[in-house]
Amino acid sequence: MTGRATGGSANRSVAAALRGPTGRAALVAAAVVIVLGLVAAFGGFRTAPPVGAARWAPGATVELARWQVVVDRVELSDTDAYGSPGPTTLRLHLRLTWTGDRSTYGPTTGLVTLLVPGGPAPDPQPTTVPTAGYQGGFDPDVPRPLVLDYAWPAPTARGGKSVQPPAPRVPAVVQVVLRDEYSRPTYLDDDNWSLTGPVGHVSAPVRDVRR
Amino acid sequence: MTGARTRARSGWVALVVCVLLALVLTAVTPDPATNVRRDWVDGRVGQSVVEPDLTTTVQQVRLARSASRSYGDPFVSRQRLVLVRLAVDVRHRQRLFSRVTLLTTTGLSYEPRDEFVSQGLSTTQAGFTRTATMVFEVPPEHVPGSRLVIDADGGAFDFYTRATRVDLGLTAATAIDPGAVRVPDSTVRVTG
Repeated sequence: MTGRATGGSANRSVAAALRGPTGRAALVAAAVVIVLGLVAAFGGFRTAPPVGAARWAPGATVELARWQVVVDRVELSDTDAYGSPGPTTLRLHLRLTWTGDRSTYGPTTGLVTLLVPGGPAPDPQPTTVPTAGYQGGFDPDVPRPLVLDYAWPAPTARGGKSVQPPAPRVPAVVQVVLRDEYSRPTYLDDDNWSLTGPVGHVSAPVRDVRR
Repeated sequence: MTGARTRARSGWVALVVCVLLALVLTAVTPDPATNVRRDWVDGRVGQSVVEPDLTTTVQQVRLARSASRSYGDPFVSRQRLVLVRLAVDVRHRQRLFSRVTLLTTTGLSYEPRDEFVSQGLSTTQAGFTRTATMVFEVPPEHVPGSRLVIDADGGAFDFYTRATRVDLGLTAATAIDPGAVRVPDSTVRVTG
């Protein structure tokens, strides 16, 4: 009886303290800490991946220093180029025109990248899907398609093997981020080019074409 | 003492003159990165173009919109496919043919399409003749006046050397083959 009376008395004093101005402030502070903690736990304070200031629509021609780029469409696919079952990929359909003065093997790695807002990241290293009979490089002033497969979600190493996690819900849109290039001649190479930061992006809707 | 001082002064003057001469030559001579390090051997279609290690004969030049191989679907282009059939006699040392291009009058350089790698020029040993067809994809406006360039095989360093250049005789009026042109695989034989 005495203990119960003591406990009840303590509860009453805590309740009384919380009703006071100091108690309310402590409650608000605790709530703020909890909310901030949840936001942090879900990645709300991570730096957003840079996507560049400019925005282009799908189908628009983007003029870069050495390329003209058109982002046609993005599909969620689970087959390879020949229709056989394959990993789940975000398949990016581009049209590129090389404006340099001699043939080149292809766009510099990182010129085009793919972001999934709010979703797991795709594999940063895409594979090229043979398209329209093309297998080789790009020739000056010759527009041609380029199709890139980004495994999504990116495979992870598990037990010494590369395993692709199951795909979550289909993303409504993905961001196709474009970087430009600038000339940096060196003593050994007067045709040396480097990438800028992101100059802009195309928000492209994703069409689910999985079997 | 006076003689030694005079000799030293003459040496410094010679050094300054040489440095000034190098600066002037650097300023007034063409950029060596451009095509000045080649002794061009020029020719035309049907003519044998002779270098010390190589004889090139362009036998035929065709324009097409589509070309096929012995396998797969035809390669179809919205541009022009320039098909250059040629025979090369290789002498003295093997040739890789790693720098064969089509050069336009507008200064653009096109490499042969990789889709026709089995039909094009490839490594050939000395004493052999390779017959091949190079396929280039070129926008129609850049086709007239194009030349085939067979440059020295690339290495770690570029140096002054001979190279073959053949005027392909293409004009705006050159006819285009209406169908898919069949491109045969390249062949090699002992030079006769």
